[in-house]
Amino acid sequence: MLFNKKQKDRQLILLDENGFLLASCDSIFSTKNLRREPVFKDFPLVESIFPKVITMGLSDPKLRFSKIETTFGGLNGFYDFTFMRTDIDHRNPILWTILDYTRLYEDYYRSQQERQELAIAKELLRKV
Amino acid sequence: MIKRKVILTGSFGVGKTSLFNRFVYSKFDEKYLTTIGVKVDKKSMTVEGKEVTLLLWDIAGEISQDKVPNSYFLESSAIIYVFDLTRPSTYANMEFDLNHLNEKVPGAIVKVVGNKRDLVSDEELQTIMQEVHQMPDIVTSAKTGDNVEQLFIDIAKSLIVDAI
Repeated sequence: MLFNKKQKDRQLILLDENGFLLASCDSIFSTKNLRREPVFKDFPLVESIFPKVITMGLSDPKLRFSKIETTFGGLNGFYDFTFMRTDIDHRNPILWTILDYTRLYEDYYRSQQERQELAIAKELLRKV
Repeated sequence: MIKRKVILTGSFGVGKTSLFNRFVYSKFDEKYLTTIGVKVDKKSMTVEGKEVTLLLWDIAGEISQDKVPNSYFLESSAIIYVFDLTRPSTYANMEFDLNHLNEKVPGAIVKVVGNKRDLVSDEELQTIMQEVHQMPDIVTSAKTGDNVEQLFIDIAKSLIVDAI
């Protein structure tokens, strides 16, 4: 079953057509406080793209957003989000997967920071 | 209520995150901190008697806009294309970038923003205006806050017109 095997760096969440949470494995963060309202309230990224997500069909490829930096809803780090329509007991909720890549992306962040600082400094020095 | 997704894009180090932070959190940090992917937040404002909520996506800077992942553009109603007035490399590809953005998000409102006004003199600004492919819609300074609120008011006004 979808929620049987827990992975601490991956959270699976099922949403209905209105953005209400149907189920979550809560591997990364607790969704206890997200049950009364659509998850939009705590995740503006989801709110932004949900109109597109609910038009997705079962055969559509998953929608992926990489390197999301967030402090919302109990998440604090770098994550990838994917969204896809899934089939569970003849119902078709939205499966939202959160992948915690904080450790991986922290290294990526440091190298990009150094690379870009150097490029900016070089360009500004050329102007002098 | 009008609620729309707005993306901030452009080359790296031009001040997209600083504009985002200035507008959303009223803060500015002198230190340059790169963005590796995307940060999203929202802010509501009342413009011309209408409540407008901007869902703002601060996207990692790319030298060329064709490097930005397609998924980031989904459902965008407006694009803020930012360049750095002090670095010609950040507006050298403006024509290509604006064409690319118009192809990716046809019909979106596009505002061109020249940022870091506090670092250039009036004379330098005149010279830069002659070099750019397209005159900026607004010139801002995230550091001083100059024109930042106005930029987002202008976006909100355009979105109101678009929604009618």
